[in-house]
Amino acid sequence: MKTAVLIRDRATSFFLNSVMMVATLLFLVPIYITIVNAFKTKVDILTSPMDLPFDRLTLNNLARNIDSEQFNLLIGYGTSLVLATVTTLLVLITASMFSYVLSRRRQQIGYQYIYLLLLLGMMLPVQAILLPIVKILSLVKLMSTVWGVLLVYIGWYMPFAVFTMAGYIGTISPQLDEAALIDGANEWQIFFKVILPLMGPVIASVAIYIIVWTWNDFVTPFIILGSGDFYTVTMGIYRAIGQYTQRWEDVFAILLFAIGPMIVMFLFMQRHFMSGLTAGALKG
Amino acid sequence: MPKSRINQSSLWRVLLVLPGLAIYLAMIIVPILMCLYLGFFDWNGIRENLSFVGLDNFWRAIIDREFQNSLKTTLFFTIPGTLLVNLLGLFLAILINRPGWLSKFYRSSFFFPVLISTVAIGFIWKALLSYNGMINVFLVGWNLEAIDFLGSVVLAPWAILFVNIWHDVGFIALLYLAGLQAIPKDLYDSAAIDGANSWQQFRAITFPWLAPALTSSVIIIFTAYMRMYDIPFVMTSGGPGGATQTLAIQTIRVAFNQNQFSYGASLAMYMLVLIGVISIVLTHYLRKREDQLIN
Repeated sequence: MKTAVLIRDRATSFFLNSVMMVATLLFLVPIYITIVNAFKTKVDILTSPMDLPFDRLTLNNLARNIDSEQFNLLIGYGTSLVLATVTTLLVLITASMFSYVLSRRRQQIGYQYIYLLLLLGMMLPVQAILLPIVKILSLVKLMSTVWGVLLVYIGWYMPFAVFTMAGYIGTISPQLDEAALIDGANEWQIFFKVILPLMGPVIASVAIYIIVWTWNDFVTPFIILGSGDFYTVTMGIYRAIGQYTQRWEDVFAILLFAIGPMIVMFLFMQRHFMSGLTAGALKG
Repeated sequence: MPKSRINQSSLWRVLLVLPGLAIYLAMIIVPILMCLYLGFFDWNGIRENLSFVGLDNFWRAIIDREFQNSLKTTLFFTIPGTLLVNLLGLFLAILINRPGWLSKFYRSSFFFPVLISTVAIGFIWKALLSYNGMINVFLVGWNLEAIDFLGSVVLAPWAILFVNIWHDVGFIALLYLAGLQAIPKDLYDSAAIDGANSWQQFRAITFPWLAPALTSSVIIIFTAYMRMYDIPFVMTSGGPGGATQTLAIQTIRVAFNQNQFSYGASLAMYMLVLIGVISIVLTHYLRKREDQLIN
């Protein structure tokens, strides 16, 4: 009787493990194909996409695509890196200050209106703001500039960052504020000296989201930067691959450039990525 | 003395709120209002003068066959997409949650696509699914007939839906996994002592405890799929024959490629209202369900 149960458990366990193996292959094989074929010649790609012919691997595909007219790697990485870091920093500063006041005064009518305005931003299709923003940015001469994209991003990520941080501040006891107030501190000092130092985990979580989102975003820079001098990595791969749809050796090389930084980041920081992204989604 | 104290403290508060609020108003709220305003005019995006046309743009959308088609396509992606991503995500989360030395490895492999840009994902799968793409290289190698996944009106929407699910399911699985791990283990122990089988345990314990994770996951996927742009834009540009053209793709195309800025603005307003109303109703319903399940 006991052995029968044991055998049945073993069988289900084996079955479930096989299901997981097949599912895992479905996720890893496309990435594998992208990586290995970036190093193969056209003939080798077309005879067997899965093979890894060690003696015929080449760096020519990558070398040829480092600096093409459509996609110079330095400009692409540089623009994306500047956008991701500056956006993240500015969102963290402005949203954390904002969320402190909003969290502590959410009963006041004025702040309830602000809350509703922020909620509207959470379900907005980016199209609804992109059309007029083109007009606004050309008016202040920021169209086709990285600064224009930066400003849009700060506004765009504000609701998510404020809600997530306000939720976290809600778990910090207001008695800390009162104690500091009695000691003669003003709200500015209370925020920076008492509350901000306690916000480490939520700041990390919001930062990870905004870095991943800005690095991967496409339509906003695509519309605002247009065909100007600067472009992000996602725009670069769109421009570069658009022209040779069937030259797979070039396509895979460009794709490897696009996903390479994320692979490296993930290998080093996957724990932070997974816990940070989960915490942000469940509290937000 | 107390009065100046109050004024001073509200000054500090304004300083804390203002930078974030000002940028948000200028970059998000003012553009929404402008978008609504432009919807009532006829404007090509370049000309100086606007001519008032009332509700013309909004009426035009209702009888526009292309708009009806984009709406249908968007719903085809959103409704099965939300269901499938959540079902598969929950399924994977339950499997990952089983003890085993491979579970960490599974978790990382499912999660990795989340970090790659949807543009890169679109191109990777385009390289696999195109008529002379990698999958057809295999099929032809095995003496089978090549399949035109992205060129067929029937197959292309399914291909786009599949790639989106592939991209998102790992993230949703992780959310459910966090929900599963928050369930106290002794609930299962006492249920087992009472003689509940695994299905009964799932119904009585696991499912109710996952209600908050389900609310977040459904809303995240619903709003994302209603606004879907990158993957169909990259893989099929909305084709063949509009079979994969979403509302987001049509709006951008109308406004920026066909220079019908104000008509595009009215389409964007339809999107905003549609997504806003459905997500408010959905959130309300799911939160109420959370309360019922927990009590």
